[in-house]
Amino acid sequence: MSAEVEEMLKRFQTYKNIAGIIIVDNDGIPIKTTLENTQTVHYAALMQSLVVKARQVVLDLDATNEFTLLRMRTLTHEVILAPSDDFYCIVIQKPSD
Amino acid sequence: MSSDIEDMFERLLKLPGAEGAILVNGEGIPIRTSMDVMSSQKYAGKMTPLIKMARSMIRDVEPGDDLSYLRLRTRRNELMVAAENDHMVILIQNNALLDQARRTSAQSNRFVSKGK
Repeated sequence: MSAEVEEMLKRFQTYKNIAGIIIVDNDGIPIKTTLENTQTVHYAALMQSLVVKARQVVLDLDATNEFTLLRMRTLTHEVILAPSDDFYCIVIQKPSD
Repeated sequence: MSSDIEDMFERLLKLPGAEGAILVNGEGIPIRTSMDVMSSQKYAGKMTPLIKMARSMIRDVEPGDDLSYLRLRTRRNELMVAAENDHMVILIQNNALLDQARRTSAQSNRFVSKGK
């Protein structure tokens, strides 16, 4: 599992616009990060409940559907939440446009 | 003022793969929609707490920053939610058509830069 995680992290880090990547396990604990500690913990704690909520919203709207990605565009950058079975990814990027 | 909203609404429905659009007021009530009342209320009811949560998180994690819009992608479609002041706009787009449009525009961008 951790080889898969390393692989993904390495692939994403090559993109110029990526400001940070955090990989959080199902218990909400960040297992990999490219940001510094306090920021990582802060993001992980907040995004955890958002991922759970998003998953629930999608299921409520359509029980056969599944939440695959959440993008939040802010004034200065973009936060992407990508869920997976055993973990989920938080990616913070500066939009190129 | 209401003709601006009408225009925006019509523009949204013209976007690739647009399956439905809902304009929701500050109380979570759909005031303009291209779908049936039941679905509109259901979507409005579900997306309001989600966007509230997302917005408060963005403000928390980056002081001074604010949520511009949110795109929730599922296996079948993509829900875009944009909020301004109290009002909220929900747009549902079919994945296949949306992705196709994105691919086409990405290809044409590449073509333009190559030509230079």
